Amino acid sequence: MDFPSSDFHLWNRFREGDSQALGLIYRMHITELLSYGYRITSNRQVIKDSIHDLFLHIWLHREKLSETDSIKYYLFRSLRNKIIHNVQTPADPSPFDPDFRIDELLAETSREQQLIEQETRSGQLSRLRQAIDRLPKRQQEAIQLRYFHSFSLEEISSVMRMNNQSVRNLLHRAILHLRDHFEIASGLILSLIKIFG
Amino acid sequence: MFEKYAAYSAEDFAQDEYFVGWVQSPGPESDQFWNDFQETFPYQRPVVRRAVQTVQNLAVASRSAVPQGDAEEIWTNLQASIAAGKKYLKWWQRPWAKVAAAAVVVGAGCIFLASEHSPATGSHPALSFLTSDSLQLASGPELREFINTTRVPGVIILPDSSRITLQPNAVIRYNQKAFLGATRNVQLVGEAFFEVTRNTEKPFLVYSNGLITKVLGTSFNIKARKGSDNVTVVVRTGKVSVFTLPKNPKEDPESQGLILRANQQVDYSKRIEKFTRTLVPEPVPVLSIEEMQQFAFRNAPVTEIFKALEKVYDTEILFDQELLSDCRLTSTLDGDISLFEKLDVLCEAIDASYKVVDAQVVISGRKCR
Repeated sequence: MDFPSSDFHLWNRFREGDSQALGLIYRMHITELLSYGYRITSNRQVIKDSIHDLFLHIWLHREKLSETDSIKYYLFRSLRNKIIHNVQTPADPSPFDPDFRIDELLAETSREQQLIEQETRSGQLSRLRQAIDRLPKRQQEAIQLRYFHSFSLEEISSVMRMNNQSVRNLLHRAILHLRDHFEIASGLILSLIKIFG
Repeated sequence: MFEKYAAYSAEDFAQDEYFVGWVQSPGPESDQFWNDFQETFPYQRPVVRRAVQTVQNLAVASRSAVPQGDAEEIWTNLQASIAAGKKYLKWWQRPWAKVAAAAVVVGAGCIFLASEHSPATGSHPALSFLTSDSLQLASGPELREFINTTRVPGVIILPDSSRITLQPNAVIRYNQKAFLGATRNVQLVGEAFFEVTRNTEKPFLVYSNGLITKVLGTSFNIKARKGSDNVTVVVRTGKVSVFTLPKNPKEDPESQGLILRANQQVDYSKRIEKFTRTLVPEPVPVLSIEEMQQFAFRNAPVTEIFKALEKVYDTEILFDQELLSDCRLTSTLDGDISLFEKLDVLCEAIDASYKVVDAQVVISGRKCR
């Protein structure tokens, strides 16, 4: 999935002040960054401000940036810092809660989310999605980084600033919670195979 | 080596680094490993299948829904902040935010479009790929990416059954869902040969180093090296249109480009924004051998031979009809010699010379007696 040398070149163009490179980097990563943001906080405005601040910061300080082979990894790590910084700002009405705010999350399913559920015709997937949404934020974040963004355990521990074993434990707890939904899902698939097989 | 996995449950597999790595990006080595594993422990087959499904479902389900319009809104604000050279105020610090935001959408949108291709409305339809679609292009399960990591060319068949022959290290990307939409869009880094299935309803567009190549159905080669500002497009059959994105998004991007025919190539330099059109070094006949055999000339005017060559190579040959009409030759057009060798022989015989100008052959000669 990664293009180390093309990232390297694009990043260097960016550091030299090429505004097209800025646009390209933005377009390539914005959807993933937004998606990631929602696994860290549910405050949409904080996510938008943080992404804005992140890109503005790297553009204004482009000459001081070091080389990178993975722009995505760099952006994820920086976005997480920005979000945590922004939610901890006193003016922010919803303080950052790293874990265990399940009640708040339950009420969070947005209209857009519901629309997506409808589009995802498969009921099992949408049940799994709902189960993930009910997990503590940090488990949601780890699961997304691992399975959707395909980061390695090492990269996740660096992005989330935890040691490797803690990441494993976090993922393990998440999988235990989600386990029932795998069973339903796979049971369904097996019976379909029987019918059509 | 396999023993470790003999008693694994689907959840255990889904947490195993080597297993997840195989599901996310399988390779020949890991394919072999997991095939052998299932051969050795056949009772684990259904478990492996469930685990693969689990990893894939987790990828889809852990992706969070992103509200429409956020990407555009942030970009607009970012452009305004960059133009102002400073940070804009946090939302809670600016009671006037809503009004001001609406005002900068128009202004900043225009500034942005002058240098980049923003997700704004009113841009030319051909640019739609670079707006809303491209925001999804680099992310999500719909993105398809192929990298030729081998040392030999590899073939990819697209959903419309077009063939792409990827040279080593070349990368092709497209959005699986968007590909089935109004236009067939792919991004290329590196070199590839395209054989595009004809579909006049859905143009096929290749984006490479800032150059866009648009075709309806034809075959051509694009070389867009990583780290290089140059792109070379070589047309084998049919016609393609090459162009760049215009500064003004309302302008038809194709009006500033070039139409290339078979046996023509264009070199585009992004740095100086210049197209150079020429003939390929070795033009290939566009007619079949049988069709070419009809051209046998016995003491015929050389002008007819030139006209036949034009048909065979789909290449314009310019000459003075009146001046050369008395020059007569005997010749055939088949055989293995190239267009340029044939031109050498013909020109030698009538004491003329030729040169290639803007992908056309220009003959200069004198009257024969």
